[in-house]
Amino acid sequence: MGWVIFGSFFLLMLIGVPIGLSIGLAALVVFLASGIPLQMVPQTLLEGNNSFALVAVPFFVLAGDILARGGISERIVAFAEATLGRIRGGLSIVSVLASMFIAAISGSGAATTAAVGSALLPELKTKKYDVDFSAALIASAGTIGVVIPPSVPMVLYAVIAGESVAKLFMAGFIPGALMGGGLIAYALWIANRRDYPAGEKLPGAEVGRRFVSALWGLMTPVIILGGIFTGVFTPSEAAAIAVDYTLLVAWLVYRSLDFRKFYELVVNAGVTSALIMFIIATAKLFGWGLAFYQIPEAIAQTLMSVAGNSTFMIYLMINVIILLAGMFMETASALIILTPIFLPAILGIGGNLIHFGLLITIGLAIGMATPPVAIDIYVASAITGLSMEEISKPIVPMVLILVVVLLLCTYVPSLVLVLPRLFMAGV
Amino acid sequence: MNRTGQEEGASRPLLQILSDSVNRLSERLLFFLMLLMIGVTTAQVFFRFFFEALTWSEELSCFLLVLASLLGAAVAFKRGSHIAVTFLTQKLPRGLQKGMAVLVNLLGILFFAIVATYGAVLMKTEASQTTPAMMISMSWIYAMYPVLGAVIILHLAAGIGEVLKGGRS
Repeated sequence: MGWVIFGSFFLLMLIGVPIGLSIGLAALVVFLASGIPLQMVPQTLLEGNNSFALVAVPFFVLAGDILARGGISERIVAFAEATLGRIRGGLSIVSVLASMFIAAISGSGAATTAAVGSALLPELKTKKYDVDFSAALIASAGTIGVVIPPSVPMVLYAVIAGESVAKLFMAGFIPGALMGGGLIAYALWIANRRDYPAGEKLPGAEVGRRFVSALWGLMTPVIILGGIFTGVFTPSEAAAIAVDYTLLVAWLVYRSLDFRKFYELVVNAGVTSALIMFIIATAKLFGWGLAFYQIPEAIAQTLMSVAGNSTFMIYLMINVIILLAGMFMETASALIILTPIFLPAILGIGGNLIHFGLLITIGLAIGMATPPVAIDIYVASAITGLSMEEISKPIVPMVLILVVVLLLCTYVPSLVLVLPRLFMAGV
Repeated sequence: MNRTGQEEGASRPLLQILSDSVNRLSERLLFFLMLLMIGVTTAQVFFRFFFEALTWSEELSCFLLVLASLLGAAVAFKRGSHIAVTFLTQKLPRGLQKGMAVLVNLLGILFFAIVATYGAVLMKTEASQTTPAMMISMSWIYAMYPVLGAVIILHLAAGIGEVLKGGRS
């Protein structure tokens, strides 16, 4: 019977039923077959979304969109360019560093790619960088958007696993820096091999002018992350403040947001987060079905027997499954489905749930840059007009670098856990 | 993004016209709910800093989130923007694609018919229950399922009409 729930889910998903609906219908099969009263359906849907931690999701989505469309990210990028542009291949470094910085404001990979891509790709083109390489670099650096806090997938994981959002956020800095560092090293190597140009040195006054202009945007991570880590706000409150702040800066300081644009951004952020919330809600139904047939426990046992109880092998298998899921599924849906299935296995081998939260976040973030389903490549392709295939080729080595970082974080857990252990109790 | 009625004017079937105008209204309401959610959460921070912590704000934000999410899901069904695996169905011949699209919408109607029906049942059976902080009857909370369930069914039915007419696949 346990196979029925997975079988019907996969079947429904493959014939094109939206993922949230596939999960809900598969759960419904279990409800009907085992005579669970159907009042449980709306009740469970309500329970699935009724969480204050989840309030952060629409807010972080909206803040990321305002950042990308409200003139804030452009100014951050312009400042980064003024300081680093004169190194050979400097614009590539700027794309990665700007992605890392914007990741500290935005909670999604697509928003990060859009923000950096629309600001830098036209210029990279005119400065004779290879467009396919640059688009691939910005798409792969976009994955850092969900690893450096804030992060929508981390909020979802925290709610499902019952962990602290703030601890997960804290754990994201070092892995995010490693991902960025790896990409920068690769970009520099390519820049020297292909003789990419160095930009001219800008006069100090111009650098200063750009710094002042970007200052409002540069302050944002200080407010959001500072507020969360000092305990002044909860993550959801910080997300609301992030919306207020980016909105005020874009509207009153930069004057690049009119009501029409604002209306559109708010409605679209509402819809985007609703897509995730719908899957979270139906996944709660699905969770009933899984628990009814004790499927996560069965999967944990299968994993352990295949791996011969080797922790090394179990983590390796889980990573491979996560990376494969990331290729074929959208990030949030994959996270919502996989997390409850893997938790018993992780607990069974004495793993740390903050550590695993980072692994699944990084693994699925890499999925944003691995086709066929790769949101960051879609975004980069929409900005450049290149096809997905053209971007998918130069992205291969970059994805491999990110996978190396994932494996490092898997087998050296202190890379992930040192910061939360240093600054927070009980990790 | 959203198809308004201009393409064929008055010759559009009633179902489409209804679905379009309900959706326009839904988008406005969604905008308002999002602003309200941001406002309530911001107020929660301000009151805790400068006055006394609000007792009801978290609960209200949560219910606004549940409502905005269901409403946003309805808009997404209208726009056809729900996350789905399409790289397989895209390879099917056109006729079969249409058939699949109709089937998908029918399955959606089935799911939301159950959600709406049992949501209405809960409005009755849970009427005496109140929310912990705001003390409003759970009937008001559960009311969103029959109401928005019906809206989603309307969009899905209108979607079937469009597929059959050949408008979208």
